[in-house]
Amino acid sequence: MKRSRRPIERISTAQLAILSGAVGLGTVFLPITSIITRLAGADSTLALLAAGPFIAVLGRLAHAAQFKFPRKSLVAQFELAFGRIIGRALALPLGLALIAFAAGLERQIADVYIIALMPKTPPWVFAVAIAGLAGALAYEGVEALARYVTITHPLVLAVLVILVAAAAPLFNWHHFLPLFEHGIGPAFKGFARALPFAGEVVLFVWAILPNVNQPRGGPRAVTVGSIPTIAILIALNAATIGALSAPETARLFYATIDLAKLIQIGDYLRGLEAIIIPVFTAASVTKTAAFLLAGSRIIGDCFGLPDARPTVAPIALAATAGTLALTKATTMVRFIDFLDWYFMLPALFLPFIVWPLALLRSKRAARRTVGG
Amino acid sequence: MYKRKRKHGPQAMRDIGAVASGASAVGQGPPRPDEPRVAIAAEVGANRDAIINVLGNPPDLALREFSFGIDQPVHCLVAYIDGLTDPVAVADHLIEPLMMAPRLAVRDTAVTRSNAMDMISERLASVWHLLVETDLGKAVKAMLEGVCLVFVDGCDRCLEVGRKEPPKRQITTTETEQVIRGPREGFTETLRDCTGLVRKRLATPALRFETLSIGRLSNTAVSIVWLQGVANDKIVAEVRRRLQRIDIDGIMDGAYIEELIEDQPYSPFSTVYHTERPDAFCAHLLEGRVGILVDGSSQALVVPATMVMFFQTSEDYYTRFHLTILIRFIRLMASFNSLLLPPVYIAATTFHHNLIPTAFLLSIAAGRESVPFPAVVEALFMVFTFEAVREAGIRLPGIIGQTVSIVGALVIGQAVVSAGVVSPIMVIIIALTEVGSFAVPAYDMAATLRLLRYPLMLLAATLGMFGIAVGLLALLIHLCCLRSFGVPYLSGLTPLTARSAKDIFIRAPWPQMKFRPRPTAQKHAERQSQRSGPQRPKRGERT
Repeated sequence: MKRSRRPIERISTAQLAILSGAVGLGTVFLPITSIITRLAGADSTLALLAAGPFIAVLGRLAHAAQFKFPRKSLVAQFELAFGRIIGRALALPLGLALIAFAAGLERQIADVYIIALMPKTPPWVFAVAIAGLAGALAYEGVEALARYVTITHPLVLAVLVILVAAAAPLFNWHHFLPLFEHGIGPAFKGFARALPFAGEVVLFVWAILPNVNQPRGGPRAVTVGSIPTIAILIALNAATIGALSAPETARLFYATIDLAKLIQIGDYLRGLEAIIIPVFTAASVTKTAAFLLAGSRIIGDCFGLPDARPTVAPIALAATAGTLALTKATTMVRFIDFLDWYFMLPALFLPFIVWPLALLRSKRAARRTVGG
Repeated sequence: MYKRKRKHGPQAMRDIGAVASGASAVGQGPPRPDEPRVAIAAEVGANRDAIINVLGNPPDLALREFSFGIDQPVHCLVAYIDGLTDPVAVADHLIEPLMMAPRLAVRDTAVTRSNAMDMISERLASVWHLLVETDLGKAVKAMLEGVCLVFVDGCDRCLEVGRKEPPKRQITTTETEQVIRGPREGFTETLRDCTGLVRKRLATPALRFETLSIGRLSNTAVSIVWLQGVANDKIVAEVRRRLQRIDIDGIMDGAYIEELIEDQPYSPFSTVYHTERPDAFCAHLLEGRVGILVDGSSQALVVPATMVMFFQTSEDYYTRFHLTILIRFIRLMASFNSLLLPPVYIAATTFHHNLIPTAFLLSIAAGRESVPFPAVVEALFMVFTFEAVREAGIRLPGIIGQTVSIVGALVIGQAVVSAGVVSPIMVIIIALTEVGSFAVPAYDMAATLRLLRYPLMLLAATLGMFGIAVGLLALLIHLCCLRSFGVPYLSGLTPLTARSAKDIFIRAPWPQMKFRPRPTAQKHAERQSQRSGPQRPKRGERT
């Protein structure tokens, strides 16, 4: 097959840090408060406080051995560990899961817009717009994605910090008390529910690490990048429960939007949901594009394609059509839950299985560098 | 290797026409194997006829035949294009010395047919520039560039005398990039003046010029300018390659070249920077960029261009940095206004009323009470009207243009509000928008922002804030993919490093800007030494 003339893309470790943080934050900042609070109640902030450092450390450990496989793609590492056929067969579901996740996100994003802004607009308008942007970004590759995120992620963080600060006057300590009312069990469930979100990041970073200039700096970059994300998620969770109370937060679907609607300082700072929406759009495009890119690359590698480009456009089109035609919004939410538990959570621990095996067999395996 | 064919007769005429028109004269270097070589005839009459045939006997073709020498008069022909070559200079420095020669300077040596050419070149013609040419096609081409040709009977060569001195404009103040503090000279349409202005500012042997001839019919001289050791050699080579690739009939301005060498010519954003100011041009060369000067254009091109460059002016570096920081902030806000104010107003009044404070909302509602159109129609009407007034103001001569602008702004604005076509707030919004577009220093960027405003307004009218977000993100994605000669268009902004941040949103004091921008100047990145900059006097040294 004729190889693409596209040069191998390179991103810096600083860009990787921002990218991993942005993918971690992505669409998570809207539903995470409700999801965790449904499980952990008022202790959800404590659950996130415990999960945060755990995720950061686990993320670092997951990528600790990457430099042993310089420029080797995820599929190549699977091939090293399990052999050519089995390795590809095992890697392919991960790629498909990422694509399915991206499709699910598109649908979920469309529902957020319908709930928050325009109830009468059909969902396909939003889904197609996001799919178009994410597809274009994924098509342009890792470098373009990194540059895009370098601009948008600080804006997303800044708006969320403003939201948390603006919610401070509504804060009520009593909404957090009593601590551990039903024992440590609910908090542990909340803690566990946060782990698949880390799995998503680990899988994405695993797919793009061959493009990082200095692979040795990768683990540190992932840790550094995840710290602001974890911090803002914890702060947002605390602000939402502090303002709305745990039962109310658990009842809502996207509690962050309701928090934004609630905020009003004087007659001027209000209607923050309309300001959050552009930021949410930017973050959604980041996450959808990241998963599309990583998924397309894994699928492309499994079928021996030199580049993710030929696969991105048809995959994005199929994913968008599928998510709009085959599933309803509620089904898609359950589907994303399913992916989280059965694909993203195992993905968090997969590196600890794949790399030792690959290391054992790497001496005999032929070197295969990433195609760009 | 190839053999040069020698031709005469009708075939030779056609070949002279092809060579003189520059059909195969793109770039420099040795002639191509397929380029015919047309020999100069030994008879003056044959050469005269060939020139007349090739050029079609134009009225500005000056031909002067005469004989010189006493014992064996030698017949010769002087040919030049009136208007490109100074006839007085030809008469004073060429014709007169030849005619007076037997009686004045060369009494000791008789002029004959065999030594006439050498006598002219070595002892008679009092000119600086003198070349011997054996190819008639090239000689005619040189004549069309302002050179005077001298043919002598019995000699199959000709002399190219003098040099191109076309009519030109004096060096004057730049009109499009005016400053309060700083030099006021601007480039002119004459390449040699432009190179002189650059040399004046960068008196270093590292300054390199490489001239190409582009345009099959125009044969426009185009100079690549760079600082050896400062500019990235790969970028210089890429500029050379792209210029050599151009195969077009004529170049009337640098804008032709700009579109022909861009990475993505279909992008609304220009990826080639242009300036009329020699100081700005030299400053970019010092940052490792490559300049392109085009004969006949007063706008010098600079590559690679990054987006940040279009929001900076040369005056930013001449005024105190405190003021520059403030001005850059205002400029940035004005740019956002120019792009986003009408779309945000449309989105807020159409979909997101809760974004607007109640008192202000009531005021807007009162103003719009008598307006029958939706906000987007109002906005489009006003923007189109303003563009028409602007266009009329530019095309009309001086005072009338200003009058039309003022009348357009005041009378039409007042009339449309009174007639209930648009609301008063919309007039304010559009006025602020247009003021914002004038605050963008680079005309190209201001025009691009104006252009992009329309789709954003339509998106805002259909999808509200989501539409604006989608439009802006699409723009951002496009910008992230855009490159100028291999350098990312958003270079400096992404990734934002400590070094690049000193000259983007702010302008750090000069002592702090020790290094050149990284993407353009990879070699010798140090702009000033570590010792450079003000130092507090030691105790006892104070005067």
